[in-house]
Amino acid sequence: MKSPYIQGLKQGFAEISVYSVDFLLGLIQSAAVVGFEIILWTFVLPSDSHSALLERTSYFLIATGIALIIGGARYRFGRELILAIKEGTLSFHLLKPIIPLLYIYSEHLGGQATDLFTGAIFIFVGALWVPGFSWLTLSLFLLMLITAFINTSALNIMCGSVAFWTTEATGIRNVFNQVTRLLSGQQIPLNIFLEILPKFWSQFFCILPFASVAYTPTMLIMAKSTTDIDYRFIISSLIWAIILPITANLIWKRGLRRYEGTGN
Amino acid sequence: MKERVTKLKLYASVLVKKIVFAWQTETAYAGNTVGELLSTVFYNITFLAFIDVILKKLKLIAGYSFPDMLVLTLISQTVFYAGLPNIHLHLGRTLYKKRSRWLVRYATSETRLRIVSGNDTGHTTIFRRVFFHSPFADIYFLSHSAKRFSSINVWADCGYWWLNYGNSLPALFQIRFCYAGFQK
Repeated sequence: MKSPYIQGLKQGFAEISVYSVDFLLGLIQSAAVVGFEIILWTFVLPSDSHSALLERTSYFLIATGIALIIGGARYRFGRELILAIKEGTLSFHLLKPIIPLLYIYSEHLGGQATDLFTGAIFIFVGALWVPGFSWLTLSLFLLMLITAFINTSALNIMCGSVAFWTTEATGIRNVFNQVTRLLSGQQIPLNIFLEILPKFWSQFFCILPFASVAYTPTMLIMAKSTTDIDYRFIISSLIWAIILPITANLIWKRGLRRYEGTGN
Repeated sequence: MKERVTKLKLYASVLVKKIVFAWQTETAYAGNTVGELLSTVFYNITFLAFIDVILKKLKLIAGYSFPDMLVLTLISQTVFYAGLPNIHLHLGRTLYKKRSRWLVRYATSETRLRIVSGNDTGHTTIFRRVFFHSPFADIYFLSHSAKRFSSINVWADCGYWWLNYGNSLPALFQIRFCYAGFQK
């Protein structure tokens, strides 16, 4: 007997594979968006050297790729949870002998095949232009990718759980989206953003979990040597990878107690 | 005369009821009302931070300084919340039906405004999807939102291109405009 989660994954994939053109358009869309980001920052930060331009291109490709793969781009998993709670489809999952969150996630993941594929291509192409990485940075990168996934999933669950308290939760999701986009380094390279801030705010934003969504792994893979690594981001990512899942689990469980489902 | 007054009173009472109903619908979920307010606040903070970072490196964006951008942000938010693009779209559609050439341009320009500003639900073109998520959309919309009240001909021209060359040319036009707009 097949695992229900694998079936959910296949079902999610089957739903999007019906529209093959949409798959291609999704790829073009992401490529165009990251292309515009690169063009914009080429105007903002003009540089004479070819290597600096390649480095910036790599940064945006890798940061966007990571955010797409781990689901930190637009809080889509959070949106799925909000819809499941709002429309009552969560009841179907609660009645079955499965872990509801895991099942919803596996179904969601199947539907995100375009993002996963696009993200993998972006990271691959971006990494091609990186001068070279050591075993230390590569291992730290893989570790940070895992913590990024844990933190992003927890943030998505927390964002989705808001729907237990208020049925319409799109406003809160927008807040999560906007803050993450800015503070994860997807919109502005985080080192440039932190440079212009007063010291207090710059240090405060370093310890928030949002940097782990895209900036921390990107910084690691782009580090030319171990001296380029900012260990504050790594430590904060690791700490958040413990705190956030526990908090998200507590909020989810507390929210479930408030949930009222009706059937027919 | 009496009939007209009665009619006007009826319209006024319908209008008031509609406003009350719209208010009740919009504020039915207190949590979401707070969420929307927070969303607006955070949108503006993150957007202005984004503009601030750019202006640390450039003198002007599309000819505008940071104080100008503050005013434009206020105008664009007012336009967005007052639903003016929607009102214009309805007007544009009505005029479109009359098949006057200039008015056709006007109607399409409004459609395009909605696409560029991301305030659009009826179109699913790839360009809308791209521009909605691109930083150019915000800058482009902001740099034009102040002008659109006084200079509708600009929009009429944009609409003309839109009408004649499909979706692709306006997108290229936007890139060219943004490119020319950046002053170092």
